[in-house]
Amino acid sequence: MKKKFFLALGALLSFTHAQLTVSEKIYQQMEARENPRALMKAQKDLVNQDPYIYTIAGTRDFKSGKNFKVKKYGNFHRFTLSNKSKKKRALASEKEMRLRAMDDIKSMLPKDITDSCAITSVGYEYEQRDSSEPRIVGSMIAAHRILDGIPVRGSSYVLMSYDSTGNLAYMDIQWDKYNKVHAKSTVEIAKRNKIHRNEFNELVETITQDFKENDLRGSLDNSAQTLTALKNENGEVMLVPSVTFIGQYSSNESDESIPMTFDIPTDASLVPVSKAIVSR
Amino acid sequence: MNKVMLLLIFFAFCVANAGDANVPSKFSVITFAISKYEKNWQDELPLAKETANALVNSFKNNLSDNYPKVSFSAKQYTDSEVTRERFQGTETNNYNFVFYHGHGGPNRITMWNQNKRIWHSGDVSEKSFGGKTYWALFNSCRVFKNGESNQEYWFNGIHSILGFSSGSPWYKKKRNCGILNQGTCYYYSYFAERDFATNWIDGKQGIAMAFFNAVNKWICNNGGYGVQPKIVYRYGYVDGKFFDPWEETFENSIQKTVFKNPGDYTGIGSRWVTLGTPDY
Repeated sequence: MKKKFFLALGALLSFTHAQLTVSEKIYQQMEARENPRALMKAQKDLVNQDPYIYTIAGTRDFKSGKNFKVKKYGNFHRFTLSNKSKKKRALASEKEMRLRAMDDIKSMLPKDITDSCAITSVGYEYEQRDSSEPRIVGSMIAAHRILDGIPVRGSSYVLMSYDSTGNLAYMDIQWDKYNKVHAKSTVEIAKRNKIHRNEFNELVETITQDFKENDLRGSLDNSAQTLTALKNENGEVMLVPSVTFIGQYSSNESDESIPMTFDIPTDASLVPVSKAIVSR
Repeated sequence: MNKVMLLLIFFAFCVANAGDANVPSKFSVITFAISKYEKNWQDELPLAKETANALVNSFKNNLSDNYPKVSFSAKQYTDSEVTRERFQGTETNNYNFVFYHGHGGPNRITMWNQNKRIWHSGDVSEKSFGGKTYWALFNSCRVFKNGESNQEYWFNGIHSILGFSSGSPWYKKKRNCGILNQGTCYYYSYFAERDFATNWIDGKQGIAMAFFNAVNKWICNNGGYGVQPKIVYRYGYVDGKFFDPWEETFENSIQKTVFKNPGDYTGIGSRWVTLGTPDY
Protein backbone atom coordinates (compact mmCIF):
# COMPACT_ATOMS: atom_id res chain seq x y z
CA MET A 1 0.00 0.00 0.00
CA LYS A 2 2.78 2.35 1.09
CA LYS A 3 4.78 1.48 -2.02
CA LYS A 4 1.84 2.24 -4.28
CA PHE A 5 1.32 5.55 -2.52
CA PHE A 6 4.90 6.66 -3.10
CA LEU A 7 4.91 5.48 -6.71
CA ALA A 8 1.71 7.46 -7.26
CA LEU A 9 3.27 10.46 -5.50
CA GLY A 10 6.33 10.12 -7.72
CA ALA A 11 4.21 10.01 -10.84
CA LEU A 12 2.23 13.02 -9.63
CA LEU A 13 5.38 15.03 -8.91
CA SER A 14 6.77 14.08 -12.32
CA PHE A 15 3.58 15.36 -13.90
CA THR A 16 3.25 18.57 -11.90
CA HIS A 17 6.89 19.56 -12.42
CA ALA A 18 6.87 19.37 -16.18
CA GLN A 19 10.27 21.06 -16.52
CA LEU A 20 11.84 18.68 -14.02
CA THR A 21 11.14 14.98 -14.29
CA VAL A 22 11.82 12.82 -11.25
CA SER A 23 12.22 9.20 -12.27
CA GLU A 24 10.17 6.49 -10.60
CA LYS A 25 13.45 4.73 -9.79
CA ILE A 26 14.35 7.47 -7.29
CA TYR A 27 11.16 6.94 -5.29
CA GLN A 28 11.69 3.17 -5.35
CA GLN A 29 15.26 3.64 -4.06
CA MET A 30 14.02 6.02 -1.37
CA GLU A 31 11.41 3.57 -0.18
CA ALA A 32 13.92 0.71 -0.13
CA ARG A 33 16.28 2.73 2.06
CA GLU A 34 13.46 3.50 4.48
CA ASN A 35 12.32 -0.10 4.51
CA PRO A 36 15.40 -2.37 4.81
CA ARG A 37 13.24 -5.50 4.34
CA ALA A 38 13.19 -4.71 0.66
CA LEU A 39 16.97 -4.52 0.42
CA MET A 40 19.42 -7.21 -0.64
CA LYS A 41 21.32 -8.81 2.27
CA ALA A 42 24.55 -6.85 1.69
CA GLN A 43 22.68 -3.58 1.61
CA LYS A 44 20.68 -4.62 4.67
CA ASP A 45 23.89 -5.27 6.61
CA LEU A 46 25.00 -1.75 5.74
CA VAL A 47 21.77 -0.25 7.02
CA ASN A 48 21.80 -2.34 10.18
CA GLN A 49 25.31 -1.30 11.20
CA ASP A 50 25.67 0.89 14.27
CA PRO A 51 25.63 4.52 13.16
CA TYR A 52 28.98 6.22 12.80
CA ILE A 53 30.48 9.33 11.31
CA TYR A 54 33.98 10.19 10.19
CA THR A 55 35.86 13.18 11.54
CA ILE A 56 38.94 14.58 9.85
CA ALA A 57 42.19 14.02 11.71
CA GLY A 58 44.43 15.75 9.15
CA THR A 59 45.46 15.53 5.53
CA ARG A 60 47.71 12.88 4.12
CA ASP A 61 51.10 14.00 2.82
CA PHE A 62 52.73 12.75 -0.36
CA LYS A 63 56.35 12.82 -1.48
CA SER A 64 57.92 12.91 -4.94
CA GLY A 65 58.77 9.53 -6.44
CA LYS A 66 61.15 8.17 -9.02
CA ASN A 67 59.00 9.20 -11.95
CA PHE A 68 56.89 12.01 -10.58
CA LYS A 69 57.10 15.25 -8.63
CA VAL A 70 54.71 16.33 -5.92
CA LYS A 71 53.98 19.86 -4.69
CA LYS A 72 51.59 20.81 -1.92
CA TYR A 73 49.05 23.61 -2.40
CA GLY A 74 46.87 24.32 0.63
CA ASN A 75 44.90 21.12 1.29
CA PHE A 76 45.81 19.26 -1.88
CA HIS A 77 48.91 17.86 -3.60
CA ARG A 78 49.68 18.23 -7.30
CA PHE A 79 51.47 15.33 -9.05
CA THR A 80 53.30 15.89 -12.34
CA LEU A 81 55.35 13.36 -14.29
CA SER A 82 59.13 13.96 -14.28
CA ASN A 83 59.50 12.79 -17.85
CA LYS A 84 56.34 13.20 -19.80
CA SER A 85 55.87 10.64 -22.55
CA LYS A 86 56.43 11.99 -26.03
CA LYS A 87 54.24 9.28 -27.44
CA LYS A 88 50.93 10.70 -28.56
CA ARG A 89 47.84 8.77 -27.49
CA ALA A 90 44.31 9.27 -28.69
CA LEU A 91 41.86 10.89 -26.31
CA ALA A 92 39.68 7.83 -26.25
CA SER A 93 36.19 6.80 -25.23
CA GLU A 94 34.97 7.23 -21.67
CA LYS A 95 35.52 3.53 -20.96
CA GLU A 96 39.14 3.63 -22.17
CA MET A 97 39.89 6.90 -20.36
CA ARG A 98 38.65 5.34 -17.12
CA LEU A 99 41.18 2.51 -17.53
CA ARG A 100 43.99 4.92 -18.45
CA ALA A 101 43.27 7.10 -15.42
CA MET A 102 43.20 4.12 -13.07
CA ASP A 103 46.56 2.91 -14.46
CA ASP A 104 48.07 6.35 -13.81
CA ILE A 105 46.63 6.43 -10.29
CA LYS A 106 48.17 3.01 -9.60
CA SER A 107 51.56 4.11 -10.93
CA MET A 108 51.81 7.07 -8.55
CA LEU A 109 49.72 6.48 -5.42
CA PRO A 110 50.18 3.95 -2.59
CA LYS A 111 48.22 0.71 -2.77
CA ASP A 112 45.93 1.46 0.16
CA ILE A 113 44.70 4.51 -1.77
CA THR A 114 44.37 2.81 -5.15
CA ASP A 115 42.39 0.03 -3.44
CA SER A 116 39.93 2.52 -2.01
CA CYS A 117 39.17 4.83 -4.89
CA ALA A 118 37.04 4.64 -8.03
CA ILE A 119 36.58 6.81 -11.10
CA THR A 120 33.60 9.14 -10.65
CA SER A 121 33.32 10.79 -14.05
CA VAL A 122 35.09 11.40 -17.34
CA GLY A 123 34.79 14.79 -18.99
CA TYR A 124 36.37 16.30 -22.07
CA GLU A 125 37.99 19.60 -22.98
CA TYR A 126 36.88 21.16 -26.28
CA GLU A 127 38.50 23.74 -28.50
CA GLN A 128 36.86 25.76 -31.23
CA ARG A 129 38.84 27.95 -33.59
CA ASP A 130 37.05 30.45 -35.82
CA SER A 131 34.06 28.79 -37.49
CA SER A 132 35.40 25.24 -37.40
CA GLU A 133 33.59 22.48 -35.48
CA PRO A 134 34.64 21.98 -31.83
CA ARG A 135 37.24 19.25 -31.33
CA ILE A 136 38.32 17.35 -28.24
CA VAL A 137 41.71 18.53 -26.97
CA GLY A 138 41.81 17.12 -23.47
CA SER A 139 40.08 15.15 -20.77
CA MET A 140 39.32 15.86 -17.11
CA ILE A 141 38.72 12.83 -14.92
CA ALA A 142 37.53 12.76 -11.32
CA ALA A 143 37.89 9.91 -8.84
CA HIS A 144 36.31 9.52 -5.41
CA ARG A 145 37.24 7.71 -2.23
CA ILE A 146 35.40 4.67 -0.91
CA LEU A 147 35.05 4.16 2.86
CA ASP A 148 33.46 0.95 4.12
CA GLY A 149 32.06 0.39 0.65
CA ILE A 150 30.42 3.83 0.46
CA PRO A 151 31.56 6.57 -1.96
CA VAL A 152 32.75 9.83 -0.38
CA ARG A 153 31.67 13.16 -1.88
CA GLY A 154 33.91 16.18 -1.28
CA SER A 155 36.78 16.34 1.20
CA SER A 156 38.79 13.49 -0.41
CA TYR A 157 39.13 13.39 -4.20
CA VAL A 158 41.47 12.90 -7.18
CA LEU A 159 41.22 15.20 -10.23
CA MET A 160 43.26 14.34 -13.34
CA SER A 161 43.85 16.36 -16.48
CA TYR A 162 44.95 14.86 -19.80
CA ASP A 163 46.24 17.20 -22.51
CA SER A 164 45.95 17.02 -26.29
CA THR A 165 48.72 14.37 -26.46
CA GLY A 166 46.50 12.06 -24.42
CA ASN A 167 49.05 12.00 -21.60
CA LEU A 168 48.57 13.07 -17.99
CA ALA A 169 49.22 16.80 -17.54
CA TYR A 170 48.76 16.76 -13.75
CA MET A 171 46.89 14.98 -10.98
CA ASP A 172 45.51 16.74 -7.90
CA ILE A 173 44.72 14.75 -4.81
CA GLN A 174 43.30 15.55 -1.41
CA TRP A 175 43.20 12.52 0.82
CA ASP A 176 42.11 13.22 4.35
CA LYS A 177 42.91 11.13 7.39
CA TYR A 178 39.63 10.07 8.98
CA ASN A 179 38.70 8.89 12.44
CA LYS A 180 35.73 6.53 12.39
CA VAL A 181 33.63 7.42 15.39
CA HIS A 182 30.54 5.76 16.85
CA ALA A 183 27.68 8.17 16.67
CA LYS A 184 24.26 8.52 18.14
CA SER A 185 21.29 9.81 16.28
CA THR A 186 19.49 12.54 18.16
CA VAL A 187 16.35 12.36 16.05
CA GLU A 188 14.13 9.25 15.99
CA ILE A 189 14.07 7.18 12.79
CA ALA A 190 10.53 8.00 11.65
CA LYS A 191 11.26 11.69 12.01
CA ARG A 192 14.60 11.31 10.18
CA ASN A 193 12.86 9.71 7.20
CA LYS A 194 10.28 12.48 7.23
CA ILE A 195 13.01 15.17 7.34
CA HIS A 196 14.76 13.48 4.42
CA ARG A 197 11.53 13.27 2.38
CA ASN A 198 10.75 16.92 3.14
CA GLU A 199 14.23 18.02 2.14
CA PHE A 200 13.94 16.08 -1.09
CA ASN A 201 10.55 17.62 -1.88
CA GLU A 202 11.97 21.07 -1.14
CA LEU A 203 14.88 20.30 -3.46
CA VAL A 204 12.47 19.32 -6.25
CA GLU A 205 10.49 22.54 -5.73
CA THR A 206 13.67 24.66 -5.74
CA ILE A 207 15.03 23.07 -8.92
CA THR A 208 11.65 23.37 -10.64
CA GLN A 209 11.42 27.06 -9.78
CA ASP A 210 14.98 27.61 -10.93
CA PHE A 211 14.28 25.81 -14.21
CA LYS A 212 11.21 27.98 -14.83
CA GLU A 213 13.13 31.19 -14.16
CA ASN A 214 16.05 30.19 -16.37
CA ASP A 215 14.23 28.40 -19.16
CA LEU A 216 15.79 25.03 -18.36
CA ARG A 217 14.55 21.46 -18.37
CA GLY A 218 15.98 18.27 -16.95
CA SER A 219 15.54 15.17 -14.85
CA LEU A 220 16.67 13.47 -11.66
CA ASP A 221 17.41 9.93 -12.79
CA ASN A 222 19.25 8.03 -10.07
CA SER A 223 20.39 8.14 -6.46
CA ALA A 224 23.21 6.56 -4.49
CA GLN A 225 24.15 6.10 -0.86
CA THR A 226 27.19 8.29 -0.14
CA LEU A 227 29.10 10.03 2.62
CA THR A 228 29.17 13.82 2.30
CA ALA A 229 31.30 16.37 4.06
CA LEU A 230 29.68 18.94 6.31
CA LYS A 231 31.45 21.75 8.11
CA ASN A 232 29.94 23.01 11.34
CA GLU A 233 30.14 26.44 12.96
CA ASN A 234 33.32 25.43 14.79
CA GLY A 235 35.00 24.72 11.45
CA GLU A 236 34.98 20.95 12.07
CA VAL A 237 34.41 18.81 8.98
CA MET A 238 32.64 15.48 9.32
CA LEU A 239 31.38 12.90 6.89
CA VAL A 240 27.75 11.92 7.39
CA PRO A 241 25.64 9.31 5.57
CA SER A 242 23.77 10.91 2.69
CA VAL A 243 21.93 10.23 -0.51
CA THR A 244 23.31 11.79 -3.68
CA PHE A 245 20.70 12.49 -6.36
CA ILE A 246 22.07 12.46 -9.90
CA GLY A 247 20.46 13.97 -12.99
CA GLN A 248 21.00 16.20 -15.97
CA TYR A 249 19.67 19.49 -17.34
CA SER A 250 19.75 21.54 -20.52
CA SER A 251 18.32 24.78 -21.80
CA ASN A 252 15.08 24.66 -23.77
CA GLU A 253 16.81 25.69 -27.00
CA SER A 254 19.74 23.27 -26.68
CA ASP A 255 20.20 19.52 -26.48
CA GLU A 256 23.53 19.87 -24.69
CA SER A 257 23.05 18.09 -21.39
CA ILE A 258 24.94 19.00 -18.21
CA PRO A 259 25.06 16.78 -15.10
CA MET A 260 23.66 17.85 -11.75
CA THR A 261 24.11 16.25 -8.34
CA PHE A 262 22.54 17.10 -4.99
CA ASP A 263 23.36 15.67 -1.58
CA ILE A 264 20.86 15.28 1.22
CA PRO A 265 22.08 13.71 4.50
CA THR A 266 19.98 10.81 5.70
CA ASP A 267 20.79 11.74 9.27
CA ALA A 268 22.58 15.03 9.88
CA SER A 269 21.68 14.85 13.58
CA LEU A 270 24.37 12.24 14.30
CA VAL A 271 26.76 13.28 17.05
CA PRO A 272 29.93 11.41 18.09
CA VAL A 273 29.64 9.34 21.28
CA SER A 274 33.06 7.72 21.54
CA LYS A 275 36.70 8.14 20.68
CA ALA A 276 37.91 6.98 17.28
CA ILE A 277 37.43 3.26 16.75
CA VAL A 278 39.67 3.25 13.68
CA SER A 279 41.77 5.81 11.80
CA ARG A 280 42.43 5.82 8.06
CA MET B 1 91.47 37.09 -12.36
CA ASN B 2 89.25 40.15 -12.13
CA LYS B 3 87.71 39.26 -15.49
CA VAL B 4 86.90 35.73 -14.29
CA MET B 5 85.39 37.12 -11.11
CA LEU B 6 83.24 39.58 -13.04
CA LEU B 7 82.03 36.80 -15.33
CA LEU B 8 81.14 34.66 -12.30
CA ILE B 9 79.24 37.53 -10.69
CA PHE B 10 77.40 38.17 -13.96
CA PHE B 11 76.52 34.46 -14.28
CA ALA B 12 75.28 34.32 -10.67
CA PHE B 13 73.17 37.43 -11.26
CA CYS B 14 71.57 35.87 -14.37
CA VAL B 15 70.74 32.63 -12.56
CA ALA B 16 69.28 34.46 -9.57
CA ASN B 17 66.96 36.47 -11.78
CA ALA B 18 66.07 33.84 -14.36
CA GLY B 19 62.99 32.57 -12.49
CA ASP B 20 61.38 35.98 -12.24
CA ALA B 21 62.47 37.27 -15.63
CA ASN B 22 58.98 37.84 -17.02
CA VAL B 23 57.00 38.34 -13.85
CA PRO B 24 55.14 41.67 -14.01
CA SER B 25 56.33 44.33 -11.57
CA LYS B 26 52.73 45.38 -10.85
CA PHE B 27 49.40 43.59 -10.78
CA SER B 28 46.03 45.21 -10.21
CA VAL B 29 42.48 43.91 -10.02
CA ILE B 30 39.08 45.63 -10.09
CA THR B 31 35.96 43.78 -8.97
CA PHE B 32 32.25 44.42 -9.57
CA ALA B 33 29.96 42.29 -7.39
CA ILE B 34 26.19 42.58 -7.08
CA SER B 35 24.38 40.83 -4.24
CA LYS B 36 21.14 42.84 -4.15
CA TYR B 37 19.80 44.58 -7.23
CA GLU B 38 17.86 47.83 -7.35
CA LYS B 39 14.23 47.08 -6.40
CA ASN B 40 15.18 43.38 -6.55
CA TRP B 41 14.87 43.39 -10.34
CA GLN B 42 17.15 40.34 -10.35
CA ASP B 43 17.39 37.52 -7.79
CA GLU B 44 19.73 38.02 -4.88
CA LEU B 45 23.26 36.57 -5.11
CA PRO B 46 24.13 36.36 -1.41
CA LEU B 47 27.78 35.38 -1.88
CA ALA B 48 28.76 37.98 -4.51
CA LYS B 49 30.83 40.16 -2.19
CA GLU B 50 32.49 37.21 -0.47
CA THR B 51 33.32 35.77 -3.88
CA ALA B 52 35.03 39.00 -5.00
CA ASN B 53 36.86 39.15 -1.67
CA ALA B 54 38.01 35.54 -2.06
CA LEU B 55 39.56 36.34 -5.44
CA VAL B 56 41.26 39.57 -4.29
CA ASN B 57 42.62 38.00 -1.10
CA SER B 58 43.90 34.97 -2.98
CA PHE B 59 45.67 37.17 -5.56
CA LYS B 60 47.20 39.20 -2.73
CA ASN B 61 48.32 36.18 -0.69
CA ASN B 62 49.71 34.24 -3.64
CA LEU B 63 51.65 37.27 -4.87
CA SER B 64 53.15 38.01 -1.47
CA ASP B 65 54.08 34.32 -1.02
CA ASN B 66 55.57 33.83 -4.49
CA TYR B 67 56.53 37.25 -5.83
CA PRO B 68 56.86 39.65 -2.90
CA LYS B 69 58.35 42.33 -5.12
CA VAL B 70 55.22 42.57 -7.25
CA SER B 71 53.20 45.61 -6.28
CA PHE B 72 49.52 44.70 -5.84
CA SER B 73 46.50 46.97 -5.83
CA ALA B 74 42.76 46.34 -5.84
CA LYS B 75 39.59 48.36 -6.25
CA GLN B 76 36.22 46.85 -5.31
CA TYR B 77 32.71 48.00 -6.17
CA THR B 78 29.56 46.40 -4.82
CA ASP B 79 25.79 46.62 -5.35
CA SER B 80 24.66 50.22 -6.15
CA GLU B 81 28.24 51.16 -7.06
CA VAL B 82 28.09 48.72 -9.99
CA THR B 83 26.46 51.05 -12.46
CA ARG B 84 26.37 50.79 -16.21
CA GLU B 85 28.22 54.11 -16.48
CA ARG B 86 31.02 52.98 -14.19
CA PHE B 87 31.43 49.57 -15.85
CA GLN B 88 31.31 51.04 -19.35
CA GLY B 89 33.67 53.86 -18.46
CA THR B 90 37.43 53.96 -18.80
CA GLU B 91 38.24 53.12 -15.16
CA THR B 92 38.56 49.40 -15.91
CA ASN B 93 41.36 50.30 -18.35
CA ASN B 94 43.60 51.06 -15.36
CA TYR B 95 43.43 47.51 -13.98
CA ASN B 96 45.03 44.31 -15.26
CA PHE B 97 42.26 41.96 -14.17
CA VAL B 98 38.52 42.72 -14.24
CA PHE B 99 36.15 40.54 -12.21
CA TYR B 100 32.38 40.72 -12.52
CA HIS B 101 29.92 38.69 -10.42
CA GLY B 102 26.23 39.13 -11.15
CA HIS B 103 23.50 37.78 -13.39
CA GLY B 104 24.00 37.33 -17.10
CA GLY B 105 22.90 35.64 -20.30
CA PRO B 106 24.31 35.10 -23.79
CA ASN B 107 26.28 38.25 -24.75
CA ARG B 108 25.09 40.25 -21.75
CA ILE B 109 25.63 40.98 -18.08
CA THR B 110 23.32 42.87 -15.74
CA MET B 111 24.09 46.05 -13.82
CA TRP B 112 22.66 47.07 -10.43
CA ASN B 113 20.28 49.69 -11.84
CA GLN B 114 16.86 48.36 -12.80
CA ASN B 115 16.72 46.99 -16.35
CA LYS B 116 20.28 48.11 -17.12
CA ARG B 117 22.54 45.69 -18.87
CA ILE B 118 25.75 45.66 -20.84
CA TRP B 119 24.31 44.03 -23.91
CA HIS B 120 25.99 43.22 -27.19
CA SER B 121 23.50 42.85 -29.98
CA GLY B 122 23.60 43.49 -33.68
CA ASP B 123 26.63 45.61 -34.44
CA VAL B 124 26.54 47.49 -31.15
CA SER B 125 29.40 46.84 -28.74
CA GLU B 126 28.55 48.28 -25.32
CA LYS B 127 31.84 47.41 -23.61
CA SER B 128 35.22 46.19 -24.69
CA PHE B 129 38.33 45.76 -22.59
CA GLY B 130 41.68 47.38 -23.36
CA GLY B 131 44.11 49.85 -21.79
CA LYS B 132 45.96 47.93 -19.06
CA THR B 133 43.30 45.20 -18.86
CA TYR B 134 44.77 41.90 -19.99
CA TRP B 135 42.31 39.45 -18.39
CA ALA B 136 38.70 39.33 -17.20
CA LEU B 137 36.49 36.82 -15.42
CA PHE B 138 32.70 36.89 -15.59
CA ASN B 139 31.16 34.77 -12.83
CA SER B 140 27.83 34.96 -14.57
CA CYS B 141 25.47 32.57 -16.35
CA ARG B 142 25.85 31.67 -20.04
CA VAL B 143 27.61 34.87 -21.25
CA PHE B 144 29.69 32.71 -23.61
CA LYS B 145 27.03 30.11 -24.35
CA ASN B 146 28.16 27.66 -27.02
CA GLY B 147 26.58 28.46 -30.37
CA GLU B 148 24.96 31.70 -29.21
CA SER B 149 27.62 34.10 -28.02
CA ASN B 150 29.63 36.53 -30.08
CA GLN B 151 32.79 36.98 -28.08
CA GLU B 152 34.34 39.49 -30.45
CA TYR B 153 32.55 42.48 -28.91
CA TRP B 154 34.46 42.26 -25.66
CA PHE B 155 37.94 42.51 -27.20
CA ASN B 156 39.97 45.68 -27.55
CA GLY B 157 43.41 44.43 -26.59
CA ILE B 158 42.50 42.13 -23.68
CA HIS B 159 44.24 38.74 -23.92
CA SER B 160 41.48 36.40 -22.74
CA ILE B 161 38.18 36.34 -20.86
CA LEU B 162 37.04 33.56 -18.51
CA GLY B 163 33.38 32.74 -18.03
CA PHE B 164 30.76 30.08 -18.56
CA SER B 165 28.93 28.48 -21.45
CA SER B 166 26.50 27.06 -18.88
CA GLY B 167 24.90 28.53 -15.82
CA SER B 168 27.24 29.63 -13.05
CA PRO B 169 25.55 28.51 -9.84
CA TRP B 170 26.65 29.67 -6.42
CA TYR B 171 26.20 27.63 -3.30
CA LYS B 172 26.31 28.18 0.39
CA LYS B 173 25.23 24.82 1.59
CA LYS B 174 23.70 25.33 4.96
CA ARG B 175 21.64 22.73 6.70
CA ASN B 176 20.60 21.76 10.17
CA CYS B 177 22.79 19.14 11.82
CA GLY B 178 24.15 17.99 15.15
CA ILE B 179 22.27 17.54 18.42
CA LEU B 180 18.53 17.43 17.70
CA ASN B 181 19.34 18.88 14.30
CA GLN B 182 19.77 22.32 15.91
CA GLY B 183 23.32 23.09 14.73
CA THR B 184 24.39 24.54 11.38
CA CYS B 185 26.67 23.01 8.78
CA TYR B 186 27.77 24.80 5.59
CA TYR B 187 30.22 25.12 2.70
CA TYR B 188 30.73 27.62 -0.13
CA SER B 189 31.19 28.01 -3.90
CA TYR B 190 33.74 30.85 -3.78
CA PHE B 191 36.57 28.40 -3.13
CA ALA B 192 36.68 28.24 -6.95
CA GLU B 193 37.82 31.88 -7.22
CA ARG B 194 40.33 31.36 -4.41
CA ASP B 195 41.85 28.29 -6.06
CA PHE B 196 41.91 29.85 -9.53
CA ALA B 197 44.35 32.52 -8.30
CA THR B 198 46.42 29.88 -6.49
CA ASN B 199 46.59 27.64 -9.57
CA TRP B 200 47.56 30.53 -11.84
CA ILE B 201 50.16 32.24 -9.63
CA ASP B 202 51.49 29.61 -7.23
CA GLY B 203 50.73 26.56 -9.39
CA LYS B 204 52.10 28.28 -12.52
CA GLN B 205 49.31 26.77 -14.61
CA GLY B 206 48.06 28.33 -17.84
CA ILE B 207 45.09 30.63 -17.23
CA ALA B 208 42.50 28.27 -18.79
CA MET B 209 43.76 25.21 -16.91
CA ALA B 210 43.90 27.19 -13.65
CA PHE B 211 40.26 28.20 -14.07
CA PHE B 212 38.89 24.86 -15.30
CA ASN B 213 40.59 22.99 -12.48
CA ALA B 214 39.29 25.33 -9.78
CA VAL B 215 35.73 25.39 -11.10
CA ASN B 216 35.48 21.66 -11.65
CA LYS B 217 36.88 20.91 -8.24
CA TRP B 218 34.55 23.12 -6.25
CA ILE B 219 31.42 23.55 -8.32
CA CYS B 220 31.08 20.18 -10.02
CA ASN B 221 32.25 18.09 -7.10
CA ASN B 222 30.34 19.90 -4.41
CA GLY B 223 27.78 22.17 -5.84
CA GLY B 224 24.69 20.66 -7.45
CA TYR B 225 24.39 21.92 -11.00
CA GLY B 226 27.24 20.94 -13.25
CA VAL B 227 28.92 23.73 -15.21
CA GLN B 228 30.96 24.28 -18.34
CA PRO B 229 33.71 26.80 -17.63
CA LYS B 230 34.99 28.50 -20.79
CA ILE B 231 37.76 30.81 -22.01
CA VAL B 232 37.47 33.03 -25.09
CA TYR B 233 40.36 34.77 -26.84
CA ARG B 234 41.92 36.05 -30.03
CA TYR B 235 45.11 34.32 -31.16
CA GLY B 236 47.99 35.12 -33.50
CA TYR B 237 51.54 36.47 -33.48
CA VAL B 238 52.99 38.91 -30.95
CA ASP B 239 56.44 40.29 -31.80
CA GLY B 240 56.90 37.46 -34.29
CA LYS B 241 56.05 34.70 -31.82
CA PHE B 242 52.79 32.70 -31.86
CA PHE B 243 50.64 33.53 -28.84
CA ASP B 244 47.71 31.36 -27.73
CA PRO B 245 46.26 33.23 -24.73
CA TRP B 246 44.52 30.22 -23.13
CA GLU B 247 47.93 28.88 -22.04
CA GLU B 248 49.29 32.19 -20.71
CA THR B 249 50.87 31.79 -17.27
CA PHE B 250 51.08 34.63 -14.79
CA GLU B 251 54.85 34.54 -14.53
CA ASN B 252 55.36 34.66 -18.29
CA SER B 253 52.48 36.95 -19.13
CA ILE B 254 52.68 39.58 -21.82
CA GLN B 255 52.47 43.02 -20.26
CA LYS B 256 50.72 44.87 -23.03
CA THR B 257 47.47 44.72 -24.94
CA VAL B 258 47.42 42.42 -27.97
CA PHE B 259 45.39 41.77 -31.12
CA LYS B 260 43.57 45.09 -30.87
CA ASN B 261 42.74 45.74 -34.48
CA PRO B 262 41.49 43.56 -37.36
CA GLY B 263 44.59 42.23 -39.10
CA ASP B 264 46.58 42.12 -35.81
CA TYR B 265 45.45 38.58 -35.12
CA THR B 266 44.99 35.27 -36.92
CA GLY B 267 41.60 34.26 -35.52
CA ILE B 268 39.33 33.76 -32.55
CA GLY B 269 39.27 30.75 -30.28
CA SER B 270 37.51 29.30 -27.27
CA ARG B 271 37.92 26.31 -24.94
CA TRP B 272 35.55 24.74 -22.46
CA VAL B 273 35.31 21.56 -20.41
CA THR B 274 32.62 19.13 -19.37
CA LEU B 275 33.02 16.83 -16.39
CA GLY B 276 30.73 13.96 -17.32
CA THR B 277 27.92 12.36 -15.35
CA PRO B 278 29.01 11.08 -11.93
CA ASP B 279 28.80 7.32 -11.47
CA TYR B 280 28.75 5.99 -7.92
